[in-house]
Amino acid sequence: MTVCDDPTVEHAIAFYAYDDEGVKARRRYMYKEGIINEFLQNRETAAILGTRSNGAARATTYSVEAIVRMANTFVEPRDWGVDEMIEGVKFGVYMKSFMEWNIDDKRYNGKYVGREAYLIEDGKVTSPVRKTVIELTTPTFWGAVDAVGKDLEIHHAGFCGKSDPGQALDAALGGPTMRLRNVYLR
Amino acid sequence: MEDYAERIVDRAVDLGCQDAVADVSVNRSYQIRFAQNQIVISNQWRETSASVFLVYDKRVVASDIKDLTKLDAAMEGLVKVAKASQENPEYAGIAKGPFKYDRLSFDKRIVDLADGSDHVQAAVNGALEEGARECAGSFWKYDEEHYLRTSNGVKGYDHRATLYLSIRALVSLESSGHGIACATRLSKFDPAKAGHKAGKIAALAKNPVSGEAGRYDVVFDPLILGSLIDQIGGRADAWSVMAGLSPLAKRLGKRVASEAVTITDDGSAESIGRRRFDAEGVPVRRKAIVQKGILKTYLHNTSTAKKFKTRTTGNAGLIAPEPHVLFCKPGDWTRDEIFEECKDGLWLTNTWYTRYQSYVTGDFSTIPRDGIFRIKKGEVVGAWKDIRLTDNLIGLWRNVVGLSKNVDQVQWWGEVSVPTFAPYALARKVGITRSAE
Repeated sequence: MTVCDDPTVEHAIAFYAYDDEGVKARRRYMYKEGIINEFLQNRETAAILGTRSNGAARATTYSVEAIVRMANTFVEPRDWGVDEMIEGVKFGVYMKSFMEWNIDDKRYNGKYVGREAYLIEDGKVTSPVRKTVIELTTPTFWGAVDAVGKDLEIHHAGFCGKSDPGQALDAALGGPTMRLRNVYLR
Repeated sequence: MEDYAERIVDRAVDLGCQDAVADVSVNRSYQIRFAQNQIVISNQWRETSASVFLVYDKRVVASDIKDLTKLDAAMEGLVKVAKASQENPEYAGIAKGPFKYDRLSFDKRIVDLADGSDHVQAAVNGALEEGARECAGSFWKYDEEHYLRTSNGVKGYDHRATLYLSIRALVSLESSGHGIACATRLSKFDPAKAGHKAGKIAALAKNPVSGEAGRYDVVFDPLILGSLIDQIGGRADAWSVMAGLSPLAKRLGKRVASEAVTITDDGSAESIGRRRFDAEGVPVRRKAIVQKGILKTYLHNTSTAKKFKTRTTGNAGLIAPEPHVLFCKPGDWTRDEIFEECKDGLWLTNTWYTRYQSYVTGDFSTIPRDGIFRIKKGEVVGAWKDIRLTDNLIGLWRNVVGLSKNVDQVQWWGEVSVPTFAPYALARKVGITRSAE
């Protein structure tokens, strides 16, 4: 499983060719095949960590400094079909969209609540369900992924808030459908 | 600047707009950010910009003009956008002036302050004296002038000057505390106190263990209670009610908190959010949002007030009304009594990432951060980590049983967005959850 952040995705809300420090944009592989691969960097953080900027510096306006920001973040697609993933589930939930989402400042304890969600019974989507809550640690969440779909969509365009003074900057997230096995859902 | 505001409104009317509001602001703010006990960056702003609101045949446009030398072209562009927009069926007008305003009030010593580094040092030293290893945060001198004009006879001027400091102290990556200092008078600004508070909490929060899920009695520190007050004030605006984004909808006159709770909004009070008028020039005034637990009013601008067949509360926001300064009326308990009454529970000092599962029901969660403490018979017996507060906004406020006599003025990035005067609070049976393994 590979998680990347890519400002070069055409027509995505956080598309750019060069960041605000003049560094050429490229796809950044945060996790590569399940291993932490690189962090988002600007020139300052790269100098401190002894590496090179990977073009993640953006500022909302001329009068504030460019800081490290995510752009379009998604899981790279693999080769599973959605129906294929559902067929392999005896009893579970299909979460199509989420509502409440938060994570602690260590980025360790996350919570995701389904907005549009359905029960899966014997490999078939049956009835809608409400208040499907996943409250998991980051390693538990990503460690439970056993199938990654081919249906990549980058459509959740919004703003990411950071810094003081606050810089709310456009960012997108997305990915293919993924299947998690044996996670606690209430 | 007054001329710019007049020109904007006149131009809008000449171009066929029925309503126009121009707020030309001059920002001379100054910031210091510090990390690892050192000042790392200092910023100064000198910006003049105009916030413009105009209505053309019920088509509403709101924008900012940053380059006032290109004002005419900018206005033509905005009217063009209005003409291409859909009508807003909810729009019902702006306030009719003129109005009289409270006396102008700002501390010239804050306006003249050129170097805030001593205040930063005082905060850092305070934290280090309590045992913190390193500190980070920001100091702000906010200095803004506002020149307001509307096409409905409103003319207003305001000068707002305040000081603010936020400091986070760490003993380790998992043991931290947060302190806030804010004031409208230089003589009342106490960054050392904020540093001491942050350092004390950090030192007490050493070696936290993962907490347990359950329902607990909780002592809320003013900073985290400020976040919960912010949620009530923030969800009381009429736009959120109309948009289905408020658990306070259809609850006017009904109980939304315990009888111990009275929450008011008052932009005219001495506070870092003090102002003379709202975004359409209506003089600000005090009003109870919640009185002894009963929801008394939504927050309105002129347009939403007409929809609800009531009067503006002086809380424009021209698109959405907004609270200015929130007050939770103090109770009659001392801080020690609040803690003593918590026989078996938690003390939460801060939080972040408050998000709703349902805006309609008010089910939400927020993630306690910095010091989280286990309390037994009123005494701290240990530090916790890795928990989430998961509850219902109205249910939680209904379970508040006591408030302290003293209040702190707090504001914090993202969580306490509106300046808030918050006491300590004790609430019963608060929902705590944690990640499943």
